[in-house]
Amino acid sequence: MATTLLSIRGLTTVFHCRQGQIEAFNNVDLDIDQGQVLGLIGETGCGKSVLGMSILRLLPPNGVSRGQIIYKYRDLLGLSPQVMQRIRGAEIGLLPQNPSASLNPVLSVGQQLMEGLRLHRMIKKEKARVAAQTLLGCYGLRGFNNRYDEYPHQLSGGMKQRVLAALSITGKPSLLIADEPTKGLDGVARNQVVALLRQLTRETKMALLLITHDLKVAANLCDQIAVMYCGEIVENGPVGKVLVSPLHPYTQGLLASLPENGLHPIPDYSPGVPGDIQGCRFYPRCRYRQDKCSCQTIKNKRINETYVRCLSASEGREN
Amino acid sequence: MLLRVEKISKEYTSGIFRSRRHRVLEEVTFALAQGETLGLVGESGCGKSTLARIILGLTPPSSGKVFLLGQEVFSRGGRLKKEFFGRMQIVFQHPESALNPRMKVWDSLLEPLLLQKKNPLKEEHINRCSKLLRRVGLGEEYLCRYPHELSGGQIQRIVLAQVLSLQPDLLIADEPTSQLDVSVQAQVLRILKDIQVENNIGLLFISHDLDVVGWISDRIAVMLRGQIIEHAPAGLIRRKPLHPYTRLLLGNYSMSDSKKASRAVPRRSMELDSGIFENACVYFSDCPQAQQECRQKPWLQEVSDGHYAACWQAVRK
Amino acid sequence: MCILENKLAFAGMVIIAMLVILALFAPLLAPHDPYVQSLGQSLIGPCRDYPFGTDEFGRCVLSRIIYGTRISLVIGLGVTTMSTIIGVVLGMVAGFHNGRLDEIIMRVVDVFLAFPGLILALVVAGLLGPGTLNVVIALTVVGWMGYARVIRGAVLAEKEKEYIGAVQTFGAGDCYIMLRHLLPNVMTPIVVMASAGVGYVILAAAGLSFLGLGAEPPAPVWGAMLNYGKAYLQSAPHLTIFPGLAIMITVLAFNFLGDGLRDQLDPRMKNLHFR
Repeated sequence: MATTLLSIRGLTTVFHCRQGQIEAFNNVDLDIDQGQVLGLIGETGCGKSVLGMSILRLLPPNGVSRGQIIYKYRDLLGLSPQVMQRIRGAEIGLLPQNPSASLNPVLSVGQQLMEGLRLHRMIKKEKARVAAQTLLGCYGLRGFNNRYDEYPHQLSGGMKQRVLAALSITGKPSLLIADEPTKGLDGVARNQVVALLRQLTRETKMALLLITHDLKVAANLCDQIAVMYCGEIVENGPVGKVLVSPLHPYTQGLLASLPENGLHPIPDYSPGVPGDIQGCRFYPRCRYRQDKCSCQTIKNKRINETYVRCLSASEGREN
Repeated sequence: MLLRVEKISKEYTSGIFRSRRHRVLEEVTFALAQGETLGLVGESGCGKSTLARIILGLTPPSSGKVFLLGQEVFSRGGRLKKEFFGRMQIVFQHPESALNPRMKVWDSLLEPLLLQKKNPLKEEHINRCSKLLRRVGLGEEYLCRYPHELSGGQIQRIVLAQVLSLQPDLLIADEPTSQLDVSVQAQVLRILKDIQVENNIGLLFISHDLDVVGWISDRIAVMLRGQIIEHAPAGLIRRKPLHPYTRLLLGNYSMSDSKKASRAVPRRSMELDSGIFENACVYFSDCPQAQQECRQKPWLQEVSDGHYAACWQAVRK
Repeated sequence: MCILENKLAFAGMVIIAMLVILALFAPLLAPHDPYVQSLGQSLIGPCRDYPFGTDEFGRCVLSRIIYGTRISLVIGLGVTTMSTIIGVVLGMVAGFHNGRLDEIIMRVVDVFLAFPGLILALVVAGLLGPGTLNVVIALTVVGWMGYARVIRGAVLAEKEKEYIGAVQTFGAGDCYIMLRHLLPNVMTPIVVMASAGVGYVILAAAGLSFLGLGAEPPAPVWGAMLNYGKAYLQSAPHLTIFPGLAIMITVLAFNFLGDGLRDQLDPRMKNLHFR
C-alpha cells in the first residue's frame, strides 16, 4: 500500500470581488499517493486550474483558501510564505499552462535550466551546465546538443513544453502539478509531451497531478481520475473505472461527446459561477434527474473503488 | 464539382539584402463536390490556414487557380472577383476574436445581409435574426448581448448563423472547435453538420484532430509542410494509411488503446529546416523508412481506387 | 470602475469644465475690459479692485487671464483635433494597406520626427507670421506624427483578428472595414493620447507666444503675458506668477484627465478577472 503524499480535505477557494465573493470550488477532497498520477479533468471554468494554484498557494491576492492541504504531514495552508517558497520547486513542482509565456525570451534554454539547477541543487556553474545538458538530452531534446544555446522563440510549442518540463523537475520534486500541459499542441507534439511525462513519473517515482480537459491524455497517463464539474469533484476513482464505466451522468456525457463515441453532446451549457445552487450542480442538464436531486446536498457515495456525487448512481447503471 | 483548387502555391520572401524564400504551399490541388465534406488534416504550421485564406481571396496566392462551379474566382491581381463575394464563407478558430467586440449580436448577424444588399424590410430584421439564432439553438435573448458576455461555444454558433444567412456555396471551417471543450465541441459540430446537410453546402473542414475530421468528413486529405501527401475516402485512410506520416498521425492513441502512444515513432527533427534536401520528399528527414529513392520528390499518385499518396514505397506496393 | 471614482481624473474634469465656463462667459465674468489701458494705474499689485493686479499699461491681469482662456482652449482643442484627424487618417491607411503606401507614410512620419518639435514649430510659425490660426497650423505640423504611429500600430494588430477576415468574406470594401470595424476598436489609445495632448499643446502655444510668435500683441495670451511680465520680475512678480499658474493648472487638468481615461479604457484593466 502506497503512502499518501498529498491529502486535501474540505478545500474551498473563493475570490473576493467588487460584486462579493465568487466561489472557484467548494469542499474538495483529494488524495495523491506517492508516485501516483492523478488526472483532474473538467471543462473551462470549472475551477481545476485554481485548485492547482491553491495547492501551491499561488493565488492572486484576492483569492482565499479554506480547508486543509496536508503534504507530508504538514498543512500547507498554515506555513509561512518563506517556508512555502522553499517547498515550491523543491517539493512540489509546477508545469505551467502557457509554454510561450513561461520561458524568459532573452535567455537561452540552457541558461534557464542552469539557473534552476543552481538554485535548487546548490551546484557550481560548470557542473550545472553538464547537468542541464543531460536533462535536455533525457527529456525530449535528444540528439540536439545545440538546442542548449537556442532561445525560446526558436523552439516549437511542443519543444518549449518539454524544456519547461525539464525545468520544472530541476528541484527533484516529489509532486509535479501539470496545468494543461497539452493545451494548444497538435497530435504529434501532444504525444511527445505525454510520453515525456510518463517517462518522468516512471524514472523519478514522482507523483503527478495532471490538470487537463483532454480525456485522451488523461486516459493515457493517469492511474486515478477526478472529474470536476462547476467547482465540485463529482467522480473520483481508478482510470479503468471512471473512463470505462463512468457512474456520474456528467462523466458519461463527457465520454459520449468524444468524436469516436459518436459526438453526442450534453445539452445546454455549464453555469458560469455556481452561486447558490442547492443540491446537485449538474441537475439542470442531467438526464437521470429526479426532484429530490435539486433540494438536498449530495454526499459522496462509494461504489467499489469510486467515489461519486450522485444520488441515482449505482453499480449496474451504464450509459 | 463545386470547388476546384489547382496548383496553388504560396511563397513569402524575407530579408532585405539577402532575400530568402519560404515556401508555405506547394502546388496544392484538390476538388470538392456540392454537399461533400473534405477534411484537411495537418500539424500547426503546415499551411492549412494559409490555404483557407487563399481560397477565400483574403491572401493572394503566388501561383495557381481556384474555380467555384467552374468559374475562376480570382481576377488578374489575385483578388476575389466581385461576383463571388459572400459565396464562400469561413468559420475561424478563435471565438474571442470572431466578432467585433463593439457590436451587438444582432448587428453582427445583420451585417452580411446588409453588405450583400439582401436587406429585407426593417421590420423583418428582428424576425430574421431570431430565426437565424433559433436555427443554431440560441434564444432571442442573445440578440442584444455583446460578444464578451458570451461563451466560446455560443460565439461559434452565432458565427454559424451569420454564415448561414448568406446561403453560401462553400463553407470553410478552420479548426472551429479546437478552442472549445469536448461537450461544447459536440454541440457545435452537430449544428455545423446539420446546416451543411440541410443547405447542401460544400464543406472544407480543417483540423489537426483526426477523430473529429473522421467523424465529419467524406474524404480526408493529409497535409505536411505545404503539400498534400495523402488523399482518400475517410474510412479508407483510417483503415489503410499509406504514407508513413499519416500512420504517425493515426498512431495518436485512442481511448481504447493506450499502449499505442508509446509505440508512436518519436519524430527526429520535425523542426529541422528541410531546406537541405531541396528536391527530396518533404518527409525525407523524418521518415523511418527513408530510402535512397526518396531523395527524388514523389508526387501524388493514385494507388488504389480513390486513394492517392505521395510516397514511392506506397506506390510500389 | 467609473471614472468618477478616480479622484485626480475627476478633479481634472472639474477644472476643465470651469475653464470652459470661463471661456464661454468671459465678458460676464471678467471684472474689467482686458484691452482698456489706464496708464495711471499701471503695475498695481493685487488689491480689491484688481485681484491679480495690473500690468505695465494698467490692464487688469485677472480679466486678461480669463479672456486668455479662450485663446488657450481654442489652440489646445483645435491643434489636437486637427492632429488627431490627420494622424488617424494617415495611420489607418498606412496600417491597413501595409506595403508601399505604409512605407511612404511612415518615412514621412520619420522625417517629421527627426526635427526637434518646438524648433520646427518656430520655423513654421515664423514663416507664417503671427496670428492664432498660424499657431494652430504650426503646432499641428509638429503634433500629428504620434497619433499616426499609434493608430497604425493598433490597426496592424486589429486587422489580423478573425472578424475582419470574416467581414471581408461577406464582401465588405476597405473603406467600410476601416470606418465601421477598425476605427471604433482603435480609438481608445487615441482618446487617451489626445486628452493629455491638449495640455501639451497649450504649453507649447504658451512657449511660442512667449517668444513672440503667438496672437497679435494686444490679444490676451498667457504665454505673451509671461513674456511682457519678465521685465518686471523683481518689481511686479504678479505679472508672471498668475499667468504661469493658469498655464500650470490647465496643463495639469488635461494630464489628469488623460491618465484617468487611460486607466478607465485600458482593456487590461477592464477585463481583470480570474479563471
